[in-house]
Amino acid sequence: MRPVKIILGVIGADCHAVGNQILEKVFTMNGIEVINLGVMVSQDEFIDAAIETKADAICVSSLYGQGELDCEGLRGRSIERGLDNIILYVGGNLVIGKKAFSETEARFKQMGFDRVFAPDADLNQVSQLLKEDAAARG
Amino acid sequence: MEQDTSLIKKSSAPKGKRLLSIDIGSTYTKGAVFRLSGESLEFLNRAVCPTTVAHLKNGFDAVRYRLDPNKTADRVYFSSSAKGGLAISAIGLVPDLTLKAARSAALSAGGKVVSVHAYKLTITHLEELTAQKPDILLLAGGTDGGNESYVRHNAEILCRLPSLTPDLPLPAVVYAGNSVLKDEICAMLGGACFDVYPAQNILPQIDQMTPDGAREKIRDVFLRSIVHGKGLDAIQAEIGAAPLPTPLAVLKLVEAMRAEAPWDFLLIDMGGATTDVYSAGGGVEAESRVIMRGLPEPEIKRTVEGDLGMRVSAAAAANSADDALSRLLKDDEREAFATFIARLTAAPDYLPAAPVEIRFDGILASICIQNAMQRHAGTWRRVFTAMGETFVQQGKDLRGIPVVIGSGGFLSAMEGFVPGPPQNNPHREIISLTPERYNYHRDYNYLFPLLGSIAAEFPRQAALCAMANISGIWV
Repeated sequence: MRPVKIILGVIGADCHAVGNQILEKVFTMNGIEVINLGVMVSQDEFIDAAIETKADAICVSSLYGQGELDCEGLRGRSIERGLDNIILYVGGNLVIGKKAFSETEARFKQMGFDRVFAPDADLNQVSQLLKEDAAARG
Repeated sequence: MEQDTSLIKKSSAPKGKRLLSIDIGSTYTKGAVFRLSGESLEFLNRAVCPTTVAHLKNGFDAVRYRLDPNKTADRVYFSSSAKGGLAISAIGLVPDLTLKAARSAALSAGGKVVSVHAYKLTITHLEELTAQKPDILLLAGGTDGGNESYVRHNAEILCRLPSLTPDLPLPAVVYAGNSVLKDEICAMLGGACFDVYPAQNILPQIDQMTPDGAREKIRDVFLRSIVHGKGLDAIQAEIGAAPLPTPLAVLKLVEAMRAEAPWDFLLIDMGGATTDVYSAGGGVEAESRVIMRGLPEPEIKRTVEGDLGMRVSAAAAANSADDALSRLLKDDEREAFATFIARLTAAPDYLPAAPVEIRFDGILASICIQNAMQRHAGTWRRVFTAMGETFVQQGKDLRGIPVVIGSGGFLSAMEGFVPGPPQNNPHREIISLTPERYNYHRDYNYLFPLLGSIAAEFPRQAALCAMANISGIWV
């Protein structure tokens, strides 16, 4: 079986580069093939890379509080451009202010993300979930 | 002012080897003879004749006769622009990824991109594609191990081309997509009577472009199909060597000069129909407030602008530059300029004579050059982030390029003409990274295409000879 392949990047005008590197390291250590687009990645750049490489998932990070604005519409755009079955994950400091995480999670799931992660997520666990979700989609 | 050409010693001592190089352009067949002795290549003489379109060898022989009447040259090289270049249709998947890579590979092979197609081809696309009469279809899509469905679909659609156009010759196909599909696609297209040339994937990984394999196959097609007919094969049989496509010859020279010149440079080769821009070096920004985007840029990059040229494309060029025109022309000159352009379009072999026409010709040249530079250069997009003002860079940053060289019929001949840098507004949201201040040189003997053919064999000597035969002025 081929390894799970993901597109990784920090969305929007967000320049936080350190977490992105850590994600790449841990995912790679867990046997996942990572195509890391780095920081300030637009929705279309995520989708372009996923189409061309036939990736299983797009993993979006956002740390500067505007994640909701940046991620809105990603699911629709993916479907429109031919990725009708891609796994979408998102994680980081997704919203500004003190909201319960469950509220944020519900909001992003409604936007079409399959899983939503808080800043303290265990990355080994995330890797495991990626493999399970990819296997489930075949 | 012409530079002193003291490097050219007109000694009559028959030392070294005599090399003859001839370039068959669409209008003129040009040739020059050089002397090679050790590390030095010296320009001796040149000749020009009109190209004999019906049988190219006649014009070739006429030039050869004037430069080498007894056929005693030690080596003969030749290049041909064959119908203005090999017509290539580039087919890719995502416009910014494999399609962009395919386009770039086609241009760097000396081709002329006549159409581009992204995502899924349809029968309607096929009809559009046939109307452009490409010599080659460059079929790409998918990184290695990446997408398969689009490429397979596109190959299946292409298989219907023979029955759609039974009377037209089929274009050759260079397959440079997902390598996993190479055998399958080549068998499929071969079964539909296409000549198929499998090449390395031009985008094996998302951030790694490898155009060399496709470039070589495109040259193979040039040799196998274009050379036949019109007398090129007769020339090849006589001199025992194959021609280079002219733009590829120039590219070889640029590569050779890159290795010898201590500076980064831009070469502008402007003809009646197109303006070619070659950049050697020019770079990738190291500033922390700049974030690079898009495919990596090749060290040596070629772009071709089919709507910018001095004669056939004069009207299109004038239309593309309203802003620049209002800056370069006086208010009461607009109408006269339009009349001038109309005259050139009606009679492409018209030679401007009146001083005002010569001035207009210079303005037209400036527009073509500035526009072609802008399309060749990269851009900065201004973005305000939580960390302050940041720039997103696409393409090459050519602002620091210190040398611009002009070649081609017009630029080589125009003594005293110096194209100024494009005007750039630093307050715009999109900033064009064009050269700002440079030394302008002129290939005043129009030797570059001729030296290009020699550069394939003697790169260092050809590069040094090219650099000794340009004149320079600071702007």
